[in-house]
Amino acid sequence: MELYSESLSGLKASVDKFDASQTGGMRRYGTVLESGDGIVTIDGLLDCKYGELLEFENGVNGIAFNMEEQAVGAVLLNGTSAIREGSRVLGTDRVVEVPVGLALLGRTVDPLGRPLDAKGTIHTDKFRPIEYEASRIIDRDAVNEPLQTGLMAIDSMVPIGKGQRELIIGDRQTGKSAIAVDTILNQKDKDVLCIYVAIGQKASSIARIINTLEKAGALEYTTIVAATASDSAPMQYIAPYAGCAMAEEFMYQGRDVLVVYDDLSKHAVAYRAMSLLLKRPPGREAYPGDVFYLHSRLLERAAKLSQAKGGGSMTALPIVETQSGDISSYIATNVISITDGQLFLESELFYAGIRPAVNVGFSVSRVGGSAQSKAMRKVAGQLRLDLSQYREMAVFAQFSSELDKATQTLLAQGERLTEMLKQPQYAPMAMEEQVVLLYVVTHRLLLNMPLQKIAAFKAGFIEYMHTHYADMMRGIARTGRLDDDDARCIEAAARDFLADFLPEEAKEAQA
Amino acid sequence: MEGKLIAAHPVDDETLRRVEERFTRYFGQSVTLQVELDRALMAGFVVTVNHLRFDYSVRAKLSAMKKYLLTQQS
Repeated sequence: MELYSESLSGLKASVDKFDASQTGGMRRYGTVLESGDGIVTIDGLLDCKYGELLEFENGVNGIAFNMEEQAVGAVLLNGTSAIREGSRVLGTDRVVEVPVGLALLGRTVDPLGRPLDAKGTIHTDKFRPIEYEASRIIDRDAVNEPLQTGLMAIDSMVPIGKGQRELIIGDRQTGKSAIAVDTILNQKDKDVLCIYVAIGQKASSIARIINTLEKAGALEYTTIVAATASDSAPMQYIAPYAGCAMAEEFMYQGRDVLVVYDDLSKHAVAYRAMSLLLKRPPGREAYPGDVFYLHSRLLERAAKLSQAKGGGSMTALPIVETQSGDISSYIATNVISITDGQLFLESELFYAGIRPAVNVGFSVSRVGGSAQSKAMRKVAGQLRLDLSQYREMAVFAQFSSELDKATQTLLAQGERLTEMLKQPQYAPMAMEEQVVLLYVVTHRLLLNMPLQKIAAFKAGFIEYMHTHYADMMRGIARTGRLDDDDARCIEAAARDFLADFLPEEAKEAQA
Repeated sequence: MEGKLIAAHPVDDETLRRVEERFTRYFGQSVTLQVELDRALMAGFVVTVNHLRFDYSVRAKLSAMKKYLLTQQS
């Protein structure tokens, strides 16, 4: 009863604050002339803005997209069957906006910011338009801070920096969303807010992801924006822009944000459906002529801001799905040319057990070393070299007994490196853990290790390091540096550990 | 110009004339309004003319208050 009277007085106070004289008054309206396929033609609505949010009866919303001389063409966001010829449409004088702010964290919302989870109303008074100009050149800084994905294969050779756009591209079921989810999981306690935009996905898949994030305690710093496959094409179209607007709010406040767009292929398809129904001329593969601009203006809003502008950052991980590995298709090439690099995932690698299935040869990070700690740069330099030499010789692996010693060593080292880079899902690794493991393998300390034992070695050695060299590990994590003392420690630790882990092989190596 | 006056309760001729006169002055053109009844407005009225809608109903005020209260921290 206490609680009731308390909230009642709070309610009364809010009601008293409310200024009733500001309500009512004049609004522009129009009348529906035609309605079908989620598109309406409206008579009236003079002075309608392009992209203005429109209100129909019964809580139905739409966006004005075709401004013609005598009529306005609008797309409906929901409730298409309720609108008929003669229905009233009200203008709102606002281009589509979404609620933004800390109240969005931990919540699952639709692209208009309405809650989809059952956690109550979202209390915020701040709104941002979904379309916004990207930050100017003068307001940006170079990308220089790492965004750790926790995945060794990526953080070592294709590192991502805060403010970068890195595309995750591959066929279906190659682990694209898995990389994105693992990256979000790895941002725990790193003061990076995350936004996951699901475009055209199955509701069950989204539910599974939310579950995973919640179990790992990642949901508290993440917002999910969901436009499922059953949502209208216009809803799927605005979803990434809505997510971007929410991220921008944090970025301009000086925070670091990670946004995942899963995926932009479905986004382009939704935009195509909408454009064709709006009778806009189809171009290549029936996509509208501005399908490049569709993605470029979205991804340009990700940036690393200068100190003068608060020093915040928005890192974007767009995902594109290819058919049969064709990265030269229209949408794929578009997005590749926009982003600052790509992670190319291959089905062959995936089925061969190499997961994350990153094709290191074709994957690129155009930001590269400046997004890595000094420690990681030190150990990763040799890694790329070893792997590319291994790839060249890999075809001769079946003749290994007939090859010279040097080539045999190369092949053995390459196999161990590949095995080392494999990583299970939902198990992101801290930077210092990755550095230590990569140091051991790139200094050829594992050449005598049987391949099947490497996974066990990884887990065991990390635990060993945390137990016996905890201070050094923390030091590497804090400073990002690996000095000669640390290097000697790691080598000594490795030999000690291997002596117990592989007693026979260790004796062999010493002989 | 022709428009509609949608009211929650029946409107007498004098009130109708005064409302028409108000809008005639606003638009600078003669305005005549067709009267309709809609109890859902609760009280007050709505005038639609020239693709402009003037909502002075109680329903609109309550709706606005509801929107406002939802943005306030609970």
